Amino acid sequence: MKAFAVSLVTLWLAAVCQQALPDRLSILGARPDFLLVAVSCLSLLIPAPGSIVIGFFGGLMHSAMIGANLAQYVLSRMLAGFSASRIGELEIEIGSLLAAATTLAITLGAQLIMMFLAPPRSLGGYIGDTIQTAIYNAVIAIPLYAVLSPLLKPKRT
Amino acid sequence: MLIMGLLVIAYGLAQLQSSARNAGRIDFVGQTVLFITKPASINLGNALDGNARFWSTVFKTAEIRAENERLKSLEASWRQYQEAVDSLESQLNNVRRTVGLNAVKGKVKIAADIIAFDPVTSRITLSAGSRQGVEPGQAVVATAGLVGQIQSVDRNNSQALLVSSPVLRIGAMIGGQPPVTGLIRGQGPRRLVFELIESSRTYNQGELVVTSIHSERTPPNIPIGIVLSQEPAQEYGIARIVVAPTVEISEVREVFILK
Repeated sequence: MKAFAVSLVTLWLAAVCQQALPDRLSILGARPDFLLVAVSCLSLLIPAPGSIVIGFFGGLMHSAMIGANLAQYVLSRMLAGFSASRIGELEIEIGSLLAAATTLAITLGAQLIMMFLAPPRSLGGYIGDTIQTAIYNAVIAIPLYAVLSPLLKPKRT
Repeated sequence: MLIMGLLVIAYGLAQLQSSARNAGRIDFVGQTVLFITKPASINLGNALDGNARFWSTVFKTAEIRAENERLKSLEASWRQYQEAVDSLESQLNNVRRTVGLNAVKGKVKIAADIIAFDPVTSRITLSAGSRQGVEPGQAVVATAGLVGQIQSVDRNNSQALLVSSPVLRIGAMIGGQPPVTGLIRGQGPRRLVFELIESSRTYNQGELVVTSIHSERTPPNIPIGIVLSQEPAQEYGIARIVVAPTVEISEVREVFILK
């Protein structure tokens, strides 16, 4: 129940930030993807069936806000959530830095899936933007994971 | 089982989304998500902008005061010209009515905030909808020029395709004697391609490309971009001109929808 409530609030806040902040926080053209960061950090702390549902709603909210193809976003975010939860289930202590590295990899993976589902016009530009966003997301994941970890981690032990 | 169920739901929702978009509407999921996130995101954006403006005022008081004076004098001269333009347009509309033609569209402006932007699909979500008179096909403009065209609308929001979208084709024109018209479409966030019938005319870097006088929905003479270069023709008789858009969408927060 606690995990559900925390996930709901986190996704809502991420959606609000996704609407209001990316352009305002853009650095040298790099724009963060708050919903993907939320999916990644939550999925590191919530095991597989839950993380897939989180990915589903993360993708659903993102595509709904911008009117982009829903299936592409949902599928890529579900796989991102599942991958992050597999990393979270490993017998290693996950700190904020590892969460950042995971988010970086998850962002690259999710955007790679998007690239195959909806081929971009300019491949070079898309890959460049994806790398920039992945780095930005990794930085945002550090404080977010630090906040979420105490709320959700005890449930898993 | 759960994954299959979610994928089936996603497929169903994607179908609903497509059919709603084809009908010029925003689907139910989009409406719901915008309903629960828009008020908070607009307030957050306004608070951040207010904060940024406050600190910029504190640190650049003298510059802003000088800029304010300059803008006031510009506004005074603009008002004089605008009165003359309004009078001429009114006369033009009267003449058009006399000969049985419709009045020129795009005179009523609806202000809207950009509340979401997706660079991948070249699409923005706006804070004005059918309640304010927004309809699919209407032009979206910023001070620097054409931003895009409305694609789907619900009661309180609308979604527009940007000029950089490869899906959108807009009637465009380069002025001069004679003016040349053709179709412009996106080929990346900062690159448009203008295709027109080849002629002996050469196009110089920096020439302004504006909306065509032949469009029924988009008002004429709105800046779209500036000529960068001319590409070798890929089809016989068709010239291809590379154009840089005048509007940098990541710097735009507010737009007008032309009714």
